[in-house]
Parts: sequence; structure tokens; C-alpha cells
Amino acid sequence: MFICLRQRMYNSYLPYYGDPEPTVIFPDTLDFLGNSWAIIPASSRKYGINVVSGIHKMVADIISVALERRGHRPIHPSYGLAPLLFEPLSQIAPQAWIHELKTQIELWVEGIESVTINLVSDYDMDNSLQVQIIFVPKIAPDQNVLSFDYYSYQGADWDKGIEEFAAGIALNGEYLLPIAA
Amino acid sequence: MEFYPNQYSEHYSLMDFFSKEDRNIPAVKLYNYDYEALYAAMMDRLAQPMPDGSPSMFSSKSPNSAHSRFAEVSAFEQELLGREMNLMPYMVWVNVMRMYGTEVMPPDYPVITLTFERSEQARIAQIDAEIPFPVEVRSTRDPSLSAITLDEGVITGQEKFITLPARLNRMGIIGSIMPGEFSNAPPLPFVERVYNDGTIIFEGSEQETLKEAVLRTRRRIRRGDRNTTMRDYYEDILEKVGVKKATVLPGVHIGTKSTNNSLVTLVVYPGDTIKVIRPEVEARSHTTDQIDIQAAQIIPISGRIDVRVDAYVTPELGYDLAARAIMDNINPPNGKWGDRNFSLSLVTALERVEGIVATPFVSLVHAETKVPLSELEIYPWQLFSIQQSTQLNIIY
Repeated sequence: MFICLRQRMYNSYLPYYGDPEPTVIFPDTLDFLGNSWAIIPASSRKYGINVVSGIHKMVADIISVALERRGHRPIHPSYGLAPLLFEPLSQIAPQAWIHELKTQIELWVEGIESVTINLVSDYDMDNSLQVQIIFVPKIAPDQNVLSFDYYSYQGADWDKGIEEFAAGIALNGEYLLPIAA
Repeated sequence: MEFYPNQYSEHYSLMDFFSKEDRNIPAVKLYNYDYEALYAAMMDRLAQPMPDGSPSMFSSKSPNSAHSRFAEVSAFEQELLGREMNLMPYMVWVNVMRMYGTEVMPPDYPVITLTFERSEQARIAQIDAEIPFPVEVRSTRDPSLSAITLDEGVITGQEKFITLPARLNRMGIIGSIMPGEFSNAPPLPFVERVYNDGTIIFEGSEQETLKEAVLRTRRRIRRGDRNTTMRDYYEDILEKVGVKKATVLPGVHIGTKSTNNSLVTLVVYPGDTIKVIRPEVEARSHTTDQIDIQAAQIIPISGRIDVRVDAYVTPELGYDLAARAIMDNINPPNGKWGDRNFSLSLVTALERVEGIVATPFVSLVHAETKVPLSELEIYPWQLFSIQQSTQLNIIY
């Protein structure tokens, strides 16, 4: 009787058809993202247009979202960051911008499992503010850190200082600059 | 025509009107691309693999990429440029109308009725009171406003008064006028009093809009200078001053049972302005047609109607609802000409009202002769009018 009861308890969790454990196929590469033409930087005389794939595509997607003003694209009106009404008075951690960027990244960037955004200030060095976007792709629990300077980003956003901003973008500690020649 | 701020506003209102005519020739859009579908098609095309089988440089269709932005802007700018192909700006319509020689109709005067009363002594002495044409009667409220009669008349026999149509001296839609306002008349022999009883035959019209000019041009092209088909007569008579409801009965001779193939009878409600509009209609008739314009014959109906209402409806509200339904749907100028299923129309109109559940009992008779409705001979120049003397019972 007791054995029958245990059998029934075990059987109650089985699906009606098929294997007891479902099989899921996890991709082991980021090939499913395909190729994409990045916008920062878009092209160079030496290398032609900037076609990216894999992790670099995810980086390019994150930067594309971060630099777009919401409502400017006619077919995707909810793409991008809505402008803040007032410039944050505190110099550290503009929380609204962080929250909005995280939401937009989760919405538009493919292949992201999770993303965390930190702002690290460096008083000792040069009073800069580093944005650290820590994202985990879907294939493996690798943490990748994309970092750039927050004020350079603001310059690129407002005053079109794109080159200076692009020069400071780093992925896992390495600058992506060589592609912009 | 003066400057129009939105050069396509007339186009949209005319297109809206044409779309309601289901037998009109259909118009195909010149530029008929949907920009969102075009964007999707461009992204699909870019994502196709190369001829040698290698994957495309643009195989990702996500909106983060540069080629997505490029395709999006390209499709949308094409839409911005191309959509005006489907619109006709105001000036194009105007030039088409100029080709037809359309003249924009100026604003028109409103028309009201004036009542002239004969003095009692003249009536007893059987002296006719003649009202010449025209007579200008000023308003007591606004001395610059006056009504000028459109017809002459004479009060004879035992009549006490006569009602004549009169136009105001101000063009455009009529403002508010009070009954009795127009009483400042020049002295007329044997006429004791002049006043208006508040009836407005025609409210006047403002300067014609482009849409009205277009529709009028279309009518003129269909009809020419003469009314030929029955629809021509119908549209023409409805445009005449003071006509709220009309019907055209070809071949019918009112008062007899015979038919006359060259006779066209126009029946008009209300019949106040028949004398004024008769020469205009006869002038435009087809050469072989004889025209007869008659006023509608109103058959007064009374009897008993039982109306069952919802529980929340008070008897007064129920009476109001039923009376309003009858006024809006059954009594002239609403209602059907010579309705052979008059009881059914009445019941349908009443039961359509929210609050009225059913009409379990309807018994209608001629109000004066007391002949039951089912025994009346019904002709197409008759309109039924439910009278106040009808017994309307509210039951629950």
C-alpha cells in the first residue's frame, strides 16, 4: 500500500505523454544573432562598413539603444531612452537613467539573459564617472562588462561628440577602438 | 476663394462623402504602399544569403542595426513623398469647378411666415383686405431687421387672417427670432394686425462651400437645365424653399383613379410655398411633361394605443417617450407616404425606444370620421398624423 502511494506520487508529476524530463536545446554559440551593421562606428576607410556578430553585436545593440531618443524612429516609436525633464543635480548615480536603460536593453537587445548597470565614480583619478553594463548572454553564464565614460556619453548624446565617446568604449577591459580607424 | 490654411481639408470631406456612395465608380490609390510592410520586405531582402550560399552581412533584422535605420527612414520618407499622390489639393478641385463654370452661390435669405389679420368691422361688412406685394414688416426688437413678403394675398369671406411667406433682409442662417417680433408694418387698409407666429420655412444659408458647389455641379450635369427623370424632379423639388418632404408620382392624377402618361404629380409637405415655387418647377420641366404640384393630404389619426414600459419608467416619462417617438418617426415631415402598414410602422417606432417594452394594443381610426384605419383607402399622396386626441395608455 505504501509503495503504491509513492508510485502514485511520483507518477503525478509526469507529463501525460513523452519523456519524464523534457529536452531543451541550448545554443552553444551566439550565431543565432546573425550579422548586423553597427552604428558606432558605422564605417572606416580601411575596414569598410562595420559588420558585427556575436558578443560585439550585443555591445553594438546596447550602444544603439543608449544613444537613441525615444520617438525619433517612425516605425519603432518606443525604441530608445525618453529624455529626462531635468538634469540630475547629483553627480553620482542618476538612477532614472540607469533604470530606463536597463528596461530598454531588456526590451530590444537580443541574446541577453540578464543585465546590471553600475555607475562607478573615480574621484582620485580624474573625476570621471564610468558606466559599467554587466550583461550575461543566454548561452553561458559569462559576465561581460561593457564600460564607457558617462560624461562622454552625454556629450555624444547632446553635442555629437561621437568620436570621443567611441574611443572610450571598452569590453571586458579592452577598447573596441581598433575598428574605428 | 480665399486662402485655406489646410489645402487638403476639402479633399478629405469630399472623399468622405464619395465613399458613402457605394455605386460610385471606385477610385484606386495611386501610391498604395504600406510603409511598415515595405520596411519588413526590405529587411527580409537584406537578410537573404549571398548567391554563393554564405550568410548575408545584414542577416539580423533587429532594429538596433544601421541597416534597419536606413530601411526605416527610406520607407518612411518614401511614404511622406508618395502619400500626396493620393490627395487632391484644394486648388485642383477649384480649377475643375472653374472648367464647369460653377458659380459659388452667395448666402441666401431666411424665409418665415407672416400672419395678417383683418379687422372685425371689415369682416362683418364683408370687405376684402388686400395685401399688396411686397410689404416690409420691421422687427420690434431689431429695427434693422425686417421681413419682406414674397407673395400677395387677400383676406375674403369669413376668413380672419392670411399667412404669407416672407424673406428676411439679412442673408445667412437665421438667428433667434421671437413669435410676434415682426409687427411693425406700414398701414394697410382693413388690416388690423401683422405678426409672425414663429414658423421658419427656410433657415437661410451661408456662402456655399466647395463640397456643396461640387455636388450642385454634379446635379446640374446629371439634370441639365430640365428635369427629365423622376429623380431629377425629386431632387429639384427638395431644393425648393419650404419643402420638407416630397414625393414624385408619375402618371398619377390626384382625385381620380385614372393615369395620364404625360402627367407628373409632385406632392409636397408642407404646402405653404406651392404658389411661389410652382412657376420655377414648371419652367424646368421636360417639354412633354405636365406638372401638377399638390400639397400632401394629411390624414389625422386617433384611437387607442397601449404601451408597456419598463418598471423604472414613470407614466409621465412613458408618455413623453412615446410622444417623442411618434413625432420623430411617424408624424409629418417624418413617416412614409401612403403607408399601408401604418400600424406596423407605429409599433416599430415605439418599440425601438429604450424604456418601452411592447405595444400590446393598437386601435387606430380616422380622427374625424371615426372610420377604422383598416377600412381607409390609402393613396400615395397621403401622410398620416397621430393627433393629440389619441388615447395613450401606459401599462406595466
